[in-house]
Formats: sequence, C-alpha cells, structure tokens
Amino acid sequence: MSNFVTTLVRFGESFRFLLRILGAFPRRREHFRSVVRQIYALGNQTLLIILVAGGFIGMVITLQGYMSLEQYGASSEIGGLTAYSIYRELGPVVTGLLFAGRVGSLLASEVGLMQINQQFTCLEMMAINANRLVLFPRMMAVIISVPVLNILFCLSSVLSSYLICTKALGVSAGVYWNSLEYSTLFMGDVLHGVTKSFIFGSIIGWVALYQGMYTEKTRIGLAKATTTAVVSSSLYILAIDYVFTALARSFL
Amino acid sequence: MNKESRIVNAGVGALLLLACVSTLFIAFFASTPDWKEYQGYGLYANFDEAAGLKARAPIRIAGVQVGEVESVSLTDHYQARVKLRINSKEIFLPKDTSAHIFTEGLLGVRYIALFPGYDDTNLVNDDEIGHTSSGFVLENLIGQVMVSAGLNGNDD
Repeated sequence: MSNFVTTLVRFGESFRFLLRILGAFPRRREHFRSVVRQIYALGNQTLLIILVAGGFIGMVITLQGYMSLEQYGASSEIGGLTAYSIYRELGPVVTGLLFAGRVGSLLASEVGLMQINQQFTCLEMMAINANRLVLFPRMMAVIISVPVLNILFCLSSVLSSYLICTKALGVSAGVYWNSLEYSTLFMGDVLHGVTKSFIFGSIIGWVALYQGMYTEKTRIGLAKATTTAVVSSSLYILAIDYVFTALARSFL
Repeated sequence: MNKESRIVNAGVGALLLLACVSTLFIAFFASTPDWKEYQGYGLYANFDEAAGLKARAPIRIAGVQVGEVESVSLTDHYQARVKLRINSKEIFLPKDTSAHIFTEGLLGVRYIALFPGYDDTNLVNDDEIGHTSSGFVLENLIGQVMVSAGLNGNDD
C-alpha cells in the first residue's frame, strides 16, 4: 500500500517537475544559444547511429518482406510494404529506443551528477534559474531532435531498401517507387509517424531529466537513475506506441 | 563569436536543413501528397453488392488505372454507394458509361472497371453512373454449384 502511495507521489512530483521545466521558457539570448548547443550535443551526435540503424533495418525489412511476398506472387508490392511499416511504426519506435539508449542515459547521468555535486544549490544561491539555464534547453533539444532524426531514419531506410531492391532482388526502380508512392500518404502515414516521434521525444526528455534531478545522492543512486531512465522510457515508448496506434485507428 | 560555437551552429543548421530536404523528398517522391487540392473529379455509383470493395481500390479503363475509390457506404435502399475519384479532368466519360466490380484473379483484390459508352454528353463532377453490375461473390457461386450438384444427385 505504501509502495502504491510512493509511486503516486513520484508521479505527481514528476508532473510538477515537467510543468516547471516547460514554464521556464527562455528569456535571454544565452538561453536560446544553449538550446542550439544542446541540439548539437544530443541530435547531431546521434545522427550516425540513427542513419546506420535505419539503413540496416530498411534492408532487413525489404529482404524478409520480399521472401514472404514472393510466395503470394506479390513481390511488386515490396516498396509499399517497407515504406508503410517504416513510416508508421518502425521509424518512430526504433528512433525513440535508440535515442533513449544514447541520450536518455547521458541526460540522466549528467543532471544526476550535477545534483549530487550540489550544482543546482549553487545556482540557486546565485539566484540563477536552473530550469531556464539547464533543464529547459535539454528538454527542448530532445523534443526537436527526435522528430528530425525520425525523418532522417525513414529516408535512410527507404533509400537502403531501394538499393537492395534494385541491386540485389531485381525489382525495377519504377515498380518500387510506384508501389511505395501508392501505398503511403504524406498526411496520413508520414505525419502519423512524426507525431509519434514528437510524443516519444517528450517522454524521453521528461523521464531522463526527472530521474537525474531526483536521484538518490549516492553512488548506487546515480547508477539506478541512469538505468531507470533508459528502461522506463523504452517501456513507455512501446506502451504509448500501442495506445496511440489504437486511438488513431478508431478516431482518425 | 568564437570558432567552436560557429561549428556548433553550422552543425545544427546542417541537421535541420537535412531534415527539411528529406521531408520534401519523402513528401514528393516517397509518398502520395494528399495535402494538395484535388485535381480530378468525383462520381457516384450504386451497386447491389460491393463484394469486399474497399476505399483506395483502383479504378481502371481498359486495364489502365485512372483513379481510386474514395469511400463505400450504405444507401437508404440497402445498396452500396461507392464514391469514385477520377484522377484527371482530361479523362472524359460519356453519360452511358457503365461500372463493374471485377476481381484480380480468382481471389485477388477487387477493383472497378469502367466501360465508356457512346453518348455525346459527358459525366461531370458528382454525377451518378447509371449502369452498374455487382461484384461476384465466390461463396454464392459455390453455393449454386453445390445445390445443382445436389439436385442431380437426388435424381437416381
């Protein structure tokens, strides 16, 4: 019972924490510069892993899908199958998971170490708003980076799938692009994925910053905070992905 | 402005620019741009049996795709009302055009085949196609075969 109450308290605490971050909208030019610097550190530095993962996932979906479709004599639909599953599901989810692994752990340990070293207390002593200087730029950078990386992931997988189809499987370029364009809508499918990745980005930033900010001030506490940030944001991503897809299916 | 922050700004600018370019690429070359104002025109057709016809099924004239099905709904007289979208205003269909629901292969997906007639006036936007024939349902056909086979079997 007390466990349940503790969970409830932590949830309320994390929600107030989120509101506090979002309320700390930047006022000065340094704060905006700091957002740009964080996008560089979090978004640009994750670009390579996203592009490589996207390439390989596009290739493997194409190869597996081709083998199944060939049994039904529908191998000309391979472009549509690949793009549909990547735009709607795999792009946002895999981008979110990779981003949670790389950036969620980074943010949680960075902010957690700042908390343990009492840097936030120091900032408070100097009457500097830590939310505005430290937390908001990181949150904003995550929220901007994840949809951007999702688009690049989709592009990388579609192009690698195209290469596999034309060079290895012998599907002609016209057939590939035709089925791809026919079966995916821009507003319906691509923006569905982008909306999802926007939600996932907010979740990653929220969980990681909260875990770092409210870490136990011990050696084990920081390790736990880092692990929890990655594990729970991954689980939230998968669960919210299902809920969002189900809702979109019944309402949109 | 020092050198390092110039690099950072350039990096972020390049990332966002790359994202914009790839969004445009995906929008124009790797998906159907459905935000555009629609160029063609719409027609209606009522069928007694839609037989599994779904939205986005192709519409073909002489095997060439000219549009797609926008929606399938039920009328007050329990018929299937199908809204057709013809992709181009350049495709003129005479008033006595007929619409048929066909199947690709024996078990394939349903599509609508249009057979243009010989009337002098053409169908315009939101007109209704008068001559239609329903999709065939394989189960009905099998049922008929079974019944007639059964009757023959009872004769002796």
